[in-house]
Amino acid sequence: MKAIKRDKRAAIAAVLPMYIFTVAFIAGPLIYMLVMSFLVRDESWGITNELTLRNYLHILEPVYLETFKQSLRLAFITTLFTVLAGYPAGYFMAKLPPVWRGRCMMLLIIPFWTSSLMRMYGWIIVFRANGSLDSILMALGITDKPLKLLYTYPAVAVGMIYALLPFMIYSVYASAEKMDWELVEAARDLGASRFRAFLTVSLPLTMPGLYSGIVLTFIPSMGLYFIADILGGNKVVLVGNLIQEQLMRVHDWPFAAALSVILMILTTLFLFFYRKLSHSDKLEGLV
Amino acid sequence: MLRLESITKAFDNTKVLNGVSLTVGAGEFITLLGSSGCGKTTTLRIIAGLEQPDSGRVFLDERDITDTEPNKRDVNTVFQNYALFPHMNVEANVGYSLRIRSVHKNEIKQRVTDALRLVRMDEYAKRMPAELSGGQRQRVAIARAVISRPKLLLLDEPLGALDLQLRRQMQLELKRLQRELGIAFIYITHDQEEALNMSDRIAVMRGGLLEQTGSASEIYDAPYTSYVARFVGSANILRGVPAVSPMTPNETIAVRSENIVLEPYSEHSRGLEGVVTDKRFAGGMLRISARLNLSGAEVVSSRHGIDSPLTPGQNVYVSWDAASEIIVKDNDAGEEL
Repeated sequence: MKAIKRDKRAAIAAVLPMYIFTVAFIAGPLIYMLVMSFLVRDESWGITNELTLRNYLHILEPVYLETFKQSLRLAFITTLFTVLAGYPAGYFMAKLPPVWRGRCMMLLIIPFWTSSLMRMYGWIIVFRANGSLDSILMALGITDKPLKLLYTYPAVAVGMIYALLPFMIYSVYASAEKMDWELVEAARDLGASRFRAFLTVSLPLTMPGLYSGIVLTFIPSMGLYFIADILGGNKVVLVGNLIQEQLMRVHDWPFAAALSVILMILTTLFLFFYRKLSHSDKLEGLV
Repeated sequence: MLRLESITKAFDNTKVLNGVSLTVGAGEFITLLGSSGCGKTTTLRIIAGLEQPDSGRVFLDERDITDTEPNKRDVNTVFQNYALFPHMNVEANVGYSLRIRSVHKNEIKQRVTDALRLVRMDEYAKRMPAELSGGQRQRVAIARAVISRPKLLLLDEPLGALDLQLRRQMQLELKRLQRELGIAFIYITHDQEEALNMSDRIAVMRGGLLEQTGSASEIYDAPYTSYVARFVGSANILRGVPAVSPMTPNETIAVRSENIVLEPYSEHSRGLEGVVTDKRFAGGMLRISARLNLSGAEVVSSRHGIDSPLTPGQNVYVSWDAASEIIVKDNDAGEEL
């Protein structure tokens, strides 16, 4: 009996730090944020104890709805292009001989040795008026004057795609690498063309990787505000930028909290649909 | 119906096939028999179109299909690991080739039912491959491969992963299926017993070449080479032993173990002197090994009942009937089987 009791106590002691950590650093702040989103901001600084729904009604104003719409649209565009570019990349990477797979993996990892902020500043050099992109296009005679792409929506989209593409490539690769390629041979043997074999066998079997890639690109692309900051100037405002602005400049914490809650609900809904579609609780390549 | 003309193939400078020529008749059951690495799977993959030969041609019904895509060949394969599509149930797996060919839904349903009945799996139509046992997966793989009625079915050690009991049963069923369908089978195995049981014709492969092709009894009773004699029915190769039959220097004699007689020394026993080295049970018989004093070669006899008084260490006379001597080309001195 004593031994069992001691075991139990030891088990509790082992998991307790994790619980404390979870409550203190995850559940706590979330509840704090949720509560705050129903409070009123004080005249100058901080919050008052008055309850209200005004913050949420505030979001329904056209300016803010527009921001959500723009964020969602950018997230969709980003995800679409990472799928189009990342799926083939990950898929064909898995078909390479092992040595080359390793080399490709290195190429995917190396950019992460530099801060992503720095890499975004790199894009400024590419996009700014008379920058590298303009010089090349004009030298080739494709355009005759600078495109002035910096601080536009496309520049932000390119930055997002660039930042999130490796995650898509990696999760598709993780799925495709596990696939039994003999199944494709079986499909070909049974009369399927290369394309039919891909559609009926490879694609369904790499779907989990594609789904997790989508989750891994869609959700961050709603929140990577620094990319919109650096490449979009003030012209592209995303939900992330709005939250940051309300927190740091306007000091309207309750409104920032309400915006965050809505953003979280959107991502949770997205995850819900992800699980419905993929029949999976796991994120391929992550778990 | 199928004709291979001097097929060669190398992977990374390692020659796997060195000129394989083979003809398969319509409705024939032919077995490629050989140890691992002899090139039998590569031969099969070349016939299926999953591998391209370096040289040589493949003809199906007199049409050159060497450069034809695998999906355009009237040939289907049963893969060694079954290769069932894990995301489709049994029904969908079996109907796959018909869906690809856009056969009408009702017809697919009917033919899938028929094919599953043929392999006695009609009750499992809605199961997923992961829910089936090895033998059941095997049946589904066969149903999937025969449903489109190919001219030729290729089977790559299809029974290799099954236990002995099930393997014997499946051998009979495969033979029955082949007769019912009238499709030619090319069957790969390294199990000589399986080959002898099932085949109309056996092609013994070794080192990327066909060493001998013939009916089961031809291969067993009249092997051309010492390798074939040993590989099929593990005959004793008796090198440097005076034979009754005339021989050239690169020939030797082979004697099946059931024809080897071991007798204790006595006044009226004759033969070559030897010593018993081992005595083992093999079913209802004993397998007794003896070493010949003359050449040091090991011979095995399997004609002794379990009541044989011979014991290891005993001196014996080794003899055999002259009629049971087979003259073979000596081509595998000391090679492991």
